[in-house]
Amino acid sequence: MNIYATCVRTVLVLMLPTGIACGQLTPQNIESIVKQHENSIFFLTGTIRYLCGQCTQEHSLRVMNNVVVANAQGLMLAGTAGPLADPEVEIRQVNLQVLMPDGTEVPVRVVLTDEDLGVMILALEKLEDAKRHVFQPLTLNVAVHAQQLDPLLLLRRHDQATGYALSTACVRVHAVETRPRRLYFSSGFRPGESLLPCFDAAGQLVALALGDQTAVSSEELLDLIAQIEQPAIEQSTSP
Amino acid sequence: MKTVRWPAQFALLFLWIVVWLPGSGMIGTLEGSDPAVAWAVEQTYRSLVRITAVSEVPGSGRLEKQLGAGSGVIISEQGHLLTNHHVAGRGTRLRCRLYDGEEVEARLVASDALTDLAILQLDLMRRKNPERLEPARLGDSEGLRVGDVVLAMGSPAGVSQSVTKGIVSNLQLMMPTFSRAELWEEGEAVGSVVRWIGHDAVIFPGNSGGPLVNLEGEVVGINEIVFGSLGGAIPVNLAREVAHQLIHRGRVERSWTGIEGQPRPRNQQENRGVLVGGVLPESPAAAAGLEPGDILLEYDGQIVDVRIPEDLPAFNRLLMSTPVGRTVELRALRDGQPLTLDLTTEARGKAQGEERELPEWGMVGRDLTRLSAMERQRHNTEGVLVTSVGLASAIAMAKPPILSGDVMVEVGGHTLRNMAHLQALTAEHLQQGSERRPVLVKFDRGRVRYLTVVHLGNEPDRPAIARARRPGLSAELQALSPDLAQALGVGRGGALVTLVYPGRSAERAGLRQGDLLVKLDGDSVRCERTEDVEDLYSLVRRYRVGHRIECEILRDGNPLALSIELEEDLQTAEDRQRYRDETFDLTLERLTELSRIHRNLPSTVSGVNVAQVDTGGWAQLAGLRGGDIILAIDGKPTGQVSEAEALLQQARAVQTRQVVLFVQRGIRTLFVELEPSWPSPEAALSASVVTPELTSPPSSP
Repeated sequence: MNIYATCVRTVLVLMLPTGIACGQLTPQNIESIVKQHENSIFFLTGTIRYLCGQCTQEHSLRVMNNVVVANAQGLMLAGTAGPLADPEVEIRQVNLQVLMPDGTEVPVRVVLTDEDLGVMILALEKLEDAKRHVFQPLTLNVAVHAQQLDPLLLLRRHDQATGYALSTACVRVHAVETRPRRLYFSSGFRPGESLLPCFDAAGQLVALALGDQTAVSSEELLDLIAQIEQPAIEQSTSP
Repeated sequence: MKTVRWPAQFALLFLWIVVWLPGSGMIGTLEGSDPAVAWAVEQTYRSLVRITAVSEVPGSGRLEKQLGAGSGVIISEQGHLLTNHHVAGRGTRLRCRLYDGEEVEARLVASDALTDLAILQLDLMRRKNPERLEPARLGDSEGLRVGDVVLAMGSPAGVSQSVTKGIVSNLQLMMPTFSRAELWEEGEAVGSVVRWIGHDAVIFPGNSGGPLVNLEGEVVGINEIVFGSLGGAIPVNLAREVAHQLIHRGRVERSWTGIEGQPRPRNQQENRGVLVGGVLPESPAAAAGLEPGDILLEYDGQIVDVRIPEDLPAFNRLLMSTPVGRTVELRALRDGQPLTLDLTTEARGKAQGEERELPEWGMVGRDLTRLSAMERQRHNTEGVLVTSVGLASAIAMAKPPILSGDVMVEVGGHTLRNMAHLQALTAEHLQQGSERRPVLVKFDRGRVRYLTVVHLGNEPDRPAIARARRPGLSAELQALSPDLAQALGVGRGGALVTLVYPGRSAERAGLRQGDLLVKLDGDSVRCERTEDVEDLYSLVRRYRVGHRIECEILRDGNPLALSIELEEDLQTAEDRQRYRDETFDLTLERLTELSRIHRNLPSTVSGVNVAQVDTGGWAQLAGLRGGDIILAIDGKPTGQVSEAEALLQQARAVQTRQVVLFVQRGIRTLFVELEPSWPSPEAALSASVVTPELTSPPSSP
């Protein structure tokens, strides 16, 4: 099995520069997928101040990550920052902003974390920001599944210093696990690239990459979003 | 104690000294050993004090509390005691243990960073022992000779008052120039005016501020530093003069000349005088016309001579002890030609201003003094020097951010004068609303002037972040390593059940401690490494609450099938109801079912769990620890976090002197006394300066 996997990986790596590995992902449909999701993926920056449970000292952490839009009211998903998922850590202050393509920074707050998936859900601090900016939700569809060796397109943003345009990467599904549903890729990611959306050639969202060569399916994320009671969020959000 | 070097082999010596030193009956143990030593100890022992100090030091944009210990010596019947500035000079809460074991609060009267000395005053009104204090006799450090027997008294490593014996090793101890070690306190080079008494009486951190005593029972020095096996004490003649000024004036008045003296170069023909290495710009020396390279022969009628670095402290003290505003005559040589100049001294301020924190800005800052402004090549002392910045603070989030070392010069269009001005502007800004609003700030980084916008306002409430609800097995597992499988005589694969939560679904389904879980919903369990257990838990958490999971287990070698309905994982199901108390610096939380299970706490135990105890806070000072269970506060039971919160808030409202917590720690219970200090008029007791009579007159400067 390992030899087989190694062979597949080697062949894919050799094929990638030629573009063959992307299979049906042609420049045309890549461009189309990118255009379609300009307002679905943003960059998150900020800081978290917390009291460490071990040393009882206050520490700070700088956050830089991609976020994806889950609904039009600006509910977003991102890879969680370590201290936020640690129950022994006392969070003192969270100061997070989502960088919009026009250069403005929209303050957001964390409403839920899940250490199992390594995902956090963010909501807009001010609801009116949902009207000022376009938040195009990704379509999380449980019916869309990828198979082994399927080509997928990843979209991501980097901070302003590198230009804020969406950038792309092509990966192959290396393996599929059914319970829990999880995809394994033949490519790794850089820090700040967790929870990147993976699209199939038809432009359907298949899963979200976690940044460790794996991706979670829409099914799991929908379960998580369902735990957020929308009225409660709106109530607690300052106007 | 300022440790210049701390070799590892001293750990053994430390152990030896701790074992050897008796707890409190010190004097008795010395009887029959050396009568002279016992007599000298007896003269001073009753004036010896152990000091516990809560100090505030800048860190992460705040003034953080730090707990430290040191020593001191009582020098007046009014309760004045002498110690080091580095022990108590930044103290906000000072507690002294006297020779009889009584603990008495003290206040900081004044301190002098340049000589690393501080004066405290005991709160005698609250002292229970009616006996009069017995101040130590201050001797004459000029009369010491190398080889004299001396006793170092103090509280090494914070243990009980102790005595060690040695001899005077050196009367001109300095920081070795080759080591580049320098002792700095608040921007002041202590070695520029202090030449220590070197001795080999063993001292440790905690001895700082303690007396060095001769066999006449007189204090001849105040211990301050350690160079390997050599201790260094500030000569008492210098300490006496500084103490006198601190008590009577609240500060040490010194003159500033701007002369930077140096030992004469080796190629110098002249075998007398002091080389003028530098003349600070806009200083009295510059105004007088003194120049670098001049050889200063006389200062105010006194012949001066600095041949070696050890001679410099005395020269510097001579310059600084000149009355402020006095015109003195300088006689010097320039290019071999004699020169006479008149110099009028000016008052020498502190090297650095006092640090204060501004939580709204997330910074600690200080005023610029003449010396610190000069060091930064600034023409005046206007502005605020930023000394510490919190990473998530308002100024750190500004673009560009304001960093430590920057000087803020303008805020919201107002030219910034000093910290007090910045505090006033901040208060004015906050009066207009607590929501964060932008303020335009100008600041200097070196010669570069930046403009930035700081969003200033009150810190928002701590965020309430929910955790995703997930199902759990209601049991805990251990990996079955290949070795363990072989030892148990079972095949590889499976996880051992180490704990079944009582009353939960797994127990109800029949799962028991010691079972071997081999299959979950028909899939074999592979759990051979420790980290596999987390994966197994994670696998279970991917199901939905209420799902019935089919388990195959081995119990005593026999296969068994169980069906467990998944309940919500206790880790995420239980609301911890955390409460953070900023006054006592602790965080409380509910005693959750999970913590009760792990601690094997019966339901009859009712209390709140101590989740966090901040370093240097009142709770830590009192000895409270994370994991303690508070059963009662001031005799009132605390079954709920809200009850504990109300009781602590009540204590704050009435500013109670003591808050007594009844605490369970493991199988034991104990009482913990929190003794916060409140900013109340009561503090005035200590503020009344009683002029003491020192036990011997101060020496001439």
